[in-house]
Amino acid sequence: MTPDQLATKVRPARQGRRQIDDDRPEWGRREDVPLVTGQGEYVGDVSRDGELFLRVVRSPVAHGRIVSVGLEAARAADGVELALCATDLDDVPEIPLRVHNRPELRSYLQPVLAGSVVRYVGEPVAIVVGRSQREVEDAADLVELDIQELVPVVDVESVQKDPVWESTPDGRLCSFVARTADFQEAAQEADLVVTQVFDTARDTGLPLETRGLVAEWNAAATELHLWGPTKFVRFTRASVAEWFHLEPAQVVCHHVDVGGMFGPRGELYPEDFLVPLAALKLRRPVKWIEDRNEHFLAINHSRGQRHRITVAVDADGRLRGLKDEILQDFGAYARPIGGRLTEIPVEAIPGPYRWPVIDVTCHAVATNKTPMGTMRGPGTFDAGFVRERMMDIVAARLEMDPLEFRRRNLITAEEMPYQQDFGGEMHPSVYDSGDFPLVLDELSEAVDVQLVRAEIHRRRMEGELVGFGVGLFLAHAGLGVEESIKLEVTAEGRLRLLTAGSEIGQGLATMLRIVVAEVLGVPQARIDVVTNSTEHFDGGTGTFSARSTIFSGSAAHDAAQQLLADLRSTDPAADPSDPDTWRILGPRSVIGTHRQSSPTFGFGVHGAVVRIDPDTLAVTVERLVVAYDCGRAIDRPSLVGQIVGAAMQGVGGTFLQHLPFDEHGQPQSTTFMDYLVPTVYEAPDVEVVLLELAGTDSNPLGVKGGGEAGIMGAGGALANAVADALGVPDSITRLPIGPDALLPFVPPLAGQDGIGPRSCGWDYAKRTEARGGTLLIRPERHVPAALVGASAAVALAWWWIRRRP
Amino acid sequence: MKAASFAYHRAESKEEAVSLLSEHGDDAKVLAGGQSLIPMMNLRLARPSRLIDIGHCPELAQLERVGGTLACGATVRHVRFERADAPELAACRALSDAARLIGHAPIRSRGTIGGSLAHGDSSSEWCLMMLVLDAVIQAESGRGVRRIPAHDFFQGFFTTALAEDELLSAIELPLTTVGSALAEHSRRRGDFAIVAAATRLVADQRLRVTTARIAMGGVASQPIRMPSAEDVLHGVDLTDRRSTMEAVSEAAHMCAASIQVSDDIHASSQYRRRLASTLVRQALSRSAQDWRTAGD
Repeated sequence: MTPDQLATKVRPARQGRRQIDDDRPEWGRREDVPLVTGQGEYVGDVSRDGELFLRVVRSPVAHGRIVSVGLEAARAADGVELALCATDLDDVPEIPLRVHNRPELRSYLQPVLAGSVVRYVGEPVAIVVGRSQREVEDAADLVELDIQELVPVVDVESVQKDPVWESTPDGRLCSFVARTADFQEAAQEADLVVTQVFDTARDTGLPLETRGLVAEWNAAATELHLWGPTKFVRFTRASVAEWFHLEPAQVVCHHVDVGGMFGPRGELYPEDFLVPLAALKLRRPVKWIEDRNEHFLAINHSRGQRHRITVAVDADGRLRGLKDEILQDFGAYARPIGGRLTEIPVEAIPGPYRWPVIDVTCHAVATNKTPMGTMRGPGTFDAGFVRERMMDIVAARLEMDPLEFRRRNLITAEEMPYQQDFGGEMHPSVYDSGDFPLVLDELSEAVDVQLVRAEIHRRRMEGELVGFGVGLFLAHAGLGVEESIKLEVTAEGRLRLLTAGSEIGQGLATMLRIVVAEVLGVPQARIDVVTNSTEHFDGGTGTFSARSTIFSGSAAHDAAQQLLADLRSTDPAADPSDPDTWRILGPRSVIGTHRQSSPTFGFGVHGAVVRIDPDTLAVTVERLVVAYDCGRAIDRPSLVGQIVGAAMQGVGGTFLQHLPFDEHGQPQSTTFMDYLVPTVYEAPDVEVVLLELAGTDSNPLGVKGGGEAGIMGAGGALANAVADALGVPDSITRLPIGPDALLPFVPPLAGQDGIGPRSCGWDYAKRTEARGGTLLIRPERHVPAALVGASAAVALAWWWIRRRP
Repeated sequence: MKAASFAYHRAESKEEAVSLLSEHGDDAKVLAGGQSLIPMMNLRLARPSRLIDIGHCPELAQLERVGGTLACGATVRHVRFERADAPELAACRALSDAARLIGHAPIRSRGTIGGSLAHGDSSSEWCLMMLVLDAVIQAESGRGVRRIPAHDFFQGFFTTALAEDELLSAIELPLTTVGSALAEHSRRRGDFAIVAAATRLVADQRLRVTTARIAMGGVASQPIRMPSAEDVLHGVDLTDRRSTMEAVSEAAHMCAASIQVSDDIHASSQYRRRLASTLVRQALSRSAQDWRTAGD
């Protein structure tokens, strides 16, 4: 095959569904070998000669005025080299914004050390630096904090007695409004109007290793060296440079391995100032490794939304309008993500449906809690849960099949590109391509919905609590406008890609290698990739928002094309698969770039089957199926891994994970004993249906985002399945779903106090009638006679065998 | 996540451990498997100034038959009960069933039965099993050996009858655990139980219940017995399934109704009560079934 043919192979397939290149070999992920053999170099593994350790002293109260910070005892403690608080600094910088969609948020930035007021438990107040980790922890205990407590704000709807910010008594730090027409008018014309309130609890992404940073000042080279930055390496570097009056080139970020980023890891935090500060003051390397306890207090939280949503619909199931008033628990300070967290749910709530009218507002409400940032599927996971629950609730009121109700309102392939308007104050979203009904069909086929419903019906007759639900989502991906990457030919004829993007376990390096190998016709083994490092190449934007394949992949594609053109102009007959060809061409380098101003929209559907144990109320996820149109899969195993991992995180967010606070603003979940993540025992066997529908012209690879898709519809599908199992459409209105959420809806145990023996039998129809609801799945509609016979039994047996090899 | 500083003593024998404890009892903690103490020290919730490591005292790790009882050394690890390959444990299936529910494999490999009892966590599998098995806990000090019945041992929130200078050296258990069962529930496998229930029925040759024991965890500050619910089961004919089921249901109901529980971030009191009823019923049913199987 000639290189030109190989190059065209990278173009997306323009027709056909389930386009799978079966001749494409399963590439090995070279980067995984050190990670799974204990050879990884994480920030905690970095050790510099003469290093000192830093401990952050954090506020123990949620809201208060700092009267004094007593550091004498800490300074006098064994091994301590430095202890300081805000008053010891000439200038206390703030954590800057990197997203500037709401400039008013500049009034609510976090100082790197609290000066006069503390606003959340865990806020940095002082630092202690010394010769061992244990000694600085001992010394940190000796710091005397005198804080005059104020009344904390813990709920987004409570009166702000002592406002988090005195300048903003109502606590509303910024707002987004999307109003395309008068909702009231649409509601008056509609046959049915349904309102419901939903909540999503605070949660966070959970990198396998906690945050950490090692800083070292090289006086001879006048360079500040950092180990630890990831995600936005360049933004971190620029911010650090500005804080310490250095040129960005004087701040060198070294590669470290990263055990997952998930949104919060790699954002800019106060420690990104405090650790270099100590290194510069002491002229010694300084190492800070967060412990898990402080991690739960200090890393960005996410989720935490309340939606008051109203849907207007006609009797035939046609949507007339959507109204949603969203309150985003914003935490105490604006973090670099700015107002994005407040903007995303507004953009995400309409989803893949046609809404003649939308009227959506979202307010960021300050609370005395950890500041909020992103977590995989930020805002979209929340909005997906709310919208898809609402679709089921409305379908039940209409006595309509929930899948049919959705189909009637799904945007079709013919309507692409589809513009979702948000009124005059916000930019519209343009869904660039896709075939939503087709993806829903693929999901239904993979699940075998008819069969599953027949089986559910049968099991219910035997007293089981089982249910099925779906969650549809649009995965916007590819933000950040541009990306660049450097491709070098070394003197030895090897190819080397250099990027500020981060390999965080998602398979960035392998994906880039595949793209370049395919364009150039060079074996992957001769291509090296260096990630999250500014040592060799300091261009590029970063790793976030499921953008790597779209941006870094397309930039690598561009670089490879340039190199191929160079080769062709030098020697049209050269054989690119021959190492000598490149040895002659090298050393040289090119910079590949990719620019796109609007995101791509992938579309997917989650389908879930759950069982509720009527005795313990434990929920078992029996099946979790994800159908997703990714445009094109470059590295299929990595993409499937991303979807499965994200789906698992969705299971955690739906049933287990939350970060509650008590009425004093004290976090209640600060260890792995209280913050529960799904383990292998709770993990369902996620089934992935990967669709490669061509259509997006936004990038030369024809790809859409893949890193977040697996989580986006999980909450909605799982919650819908639980509500279906309960037989009460309105039952589930908040995440996560613990046993207490099910308690009001499950058959009570016998006896007046409801704790006697459980009565046998469980009549779904009777139950829902009693609540004034409607039965979601009616046997006469969904169980055709043909299916209840022997053929169903055979098919079911096959299904179980297939599921349990 | 580093412990505050402490002095470390490694005892090479039981005598040395007892003598170290006599000397330093007021500011020392005994380190056995370290599965609770070490995390608490790292979180700085516990700050003992001395640790006396008893993990190297051979006589504390023994499991032997002494007369009519099974004498179990304090540092016998959970995994030995789980595997149950020692002949002494042949008739103690309930102990291996209970051990299997403790945490995860690495915890069971290091954690010890004596450590669990001395820690006295309200939902600890061993604490509950000791209550229903009427185990006797040996507390050794320079003043001699004190034999403490399990039902007098657990006194409050992480508080036991052990004096500062006393070492929990051994546990006396019955040679057979037939009729014993433990049922528990947690959100994830391996976590501390939200509620746990241990039961034991002792029956005569005609399978009439002569002794009943019910212990509950996660419903009070310490593991507790439920004496009035136990009374319901006395004299019940286990061959009569219907009357057994009625008595079991009534006992379960009484347990659930009598516990004083409050809400926390994991569960409401209402849910805990429901679980209590469910788990006591499950455990008692298995206890009764155990006799019927033994009788077959």
